[in-house]
Amino acid sequence: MNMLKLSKLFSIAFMAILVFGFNQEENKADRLIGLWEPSNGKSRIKIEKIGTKYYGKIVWLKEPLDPTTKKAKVDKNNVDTSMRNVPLKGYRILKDFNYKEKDEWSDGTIYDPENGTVYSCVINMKENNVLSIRGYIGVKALGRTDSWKKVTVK
Amino acid sequence: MAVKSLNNLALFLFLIFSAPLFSQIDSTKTKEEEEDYSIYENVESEGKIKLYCNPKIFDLSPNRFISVGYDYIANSDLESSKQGAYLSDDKFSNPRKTSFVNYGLRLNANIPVVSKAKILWQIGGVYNKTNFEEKKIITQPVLHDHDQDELMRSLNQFGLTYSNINTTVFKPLSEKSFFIFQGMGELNGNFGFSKNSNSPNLNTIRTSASALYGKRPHDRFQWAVGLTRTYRAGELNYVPVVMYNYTSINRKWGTEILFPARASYRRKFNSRSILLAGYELEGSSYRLYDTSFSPKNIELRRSELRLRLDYQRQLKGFVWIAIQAGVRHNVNYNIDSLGDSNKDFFRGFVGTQKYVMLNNLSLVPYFNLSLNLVSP
Repeated sequence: MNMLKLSKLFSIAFMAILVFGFNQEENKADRLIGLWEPSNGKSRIKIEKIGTKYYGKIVWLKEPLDPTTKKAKVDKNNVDTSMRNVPLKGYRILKDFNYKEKDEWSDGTIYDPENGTVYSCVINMKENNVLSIRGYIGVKALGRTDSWKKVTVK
Repeated sequence: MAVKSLNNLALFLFLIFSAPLFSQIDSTKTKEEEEDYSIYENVESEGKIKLYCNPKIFDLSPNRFISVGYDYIANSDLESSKQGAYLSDDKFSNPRKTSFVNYGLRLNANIPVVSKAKILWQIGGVYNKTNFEEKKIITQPVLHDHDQDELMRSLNQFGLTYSNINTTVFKPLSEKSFFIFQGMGELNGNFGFSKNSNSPNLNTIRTSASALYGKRPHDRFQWAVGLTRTYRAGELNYVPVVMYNYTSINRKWGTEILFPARASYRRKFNSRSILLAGYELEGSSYRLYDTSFSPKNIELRRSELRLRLDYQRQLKGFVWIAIQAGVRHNVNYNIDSLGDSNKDFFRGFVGTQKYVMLNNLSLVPYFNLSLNLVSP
């Protein structure tokens, strides 16, 4: 009877450690969720989790109107012509990021509406309120890094 | 009974710790259409972060990581003075005139070493080969011992190689000001990599450098001023340099100017195709090995102004094609001797040092085609 109790206790302890450990990793990964502002201060990106992956969409633009048309900016540089009337506000520019380890999210892409190009991308969290976003071509060496700061809605 | 309690506890723990997982999945059900974006107008930073000046402005022609090109210059006439004909009156008193075409491969690489908001540092390399093919001797002096014979023999046989290793540092000083440093070591001459070619002498490496301070008032304009030590005129010179990159409000046109090296008017058709109209000053000093010129340590001071149209277009993804056509105007094709000291000298705009040989090249069309891997 004592042996049975002991094995049950071990099972519970093991399950608790497993669940608790998993949640700690989950919490680390979810630090990406929130509102971020690129270094040029021209936009704000809301990163959220959908399923097991992380996505980021434009939720604010410093200059929301196209200077030529005087209407809300749209994705006019998209390769796919059917997308060129889609508003930039709400557009998902970060896609499919997975948390790896050591404060790194990878396997994702970043879209640059300025030229309609999708780049491979890796995100590193330097501090709790700063992201290092590197878009690259093929290998990480051929790329450019930007710093995004975390902001919160007042 | 105790076992049952423990089982309940396990279930409780599992539900407590796994709750966030389910809540994340549930969050995906939010309808994006219903999101009120106005709430993101007023935000506050979580801690301070310094903003840095961006190295680019909107719609500049794309930077090239790797470029592979082919350059062709149509039949040009070369008129040469006799060696030692220094004075302008004697300049072409006993000339030899010939014609030739130039063609060759052009390779260029620029790799970012550090690419962060607070500093950008890249290193690069260039390899340009210019082959010569003499077509016709137009004027042959009676005495038939003209030094152009020797010059053309050497150029026909070995061609000219231009190579450099360069580095560029872009350092933002604030959100709107920046500093740029460019340094370069060049090794040029009539050498090559084949068995019978001349071998380059590392003592002939020439160094150039530029330093600029500038401002970027907004996303469509940046300017900078500075000083450069350059061989673009074929020989060593120190000149002021001005950068002026501008994009119009409607983002249809702009300028890309780094005077005196290059200046272009840019017309943007869309985000994947642009046309540049302008010029580039190309040049350097080339060591001529294995020639029978009597003075020692001979250098060809080569510089040309390329007036051109340059059409650049995305082929697929990050691969762009550039088609360039225009005319080549000769700036300098004279020959100097560095003498026994074998040290380069500064002639500048007012120096009185004599050339060993004076050359004139005719204005001719040229064409350049390149495939480029462009940067984000």
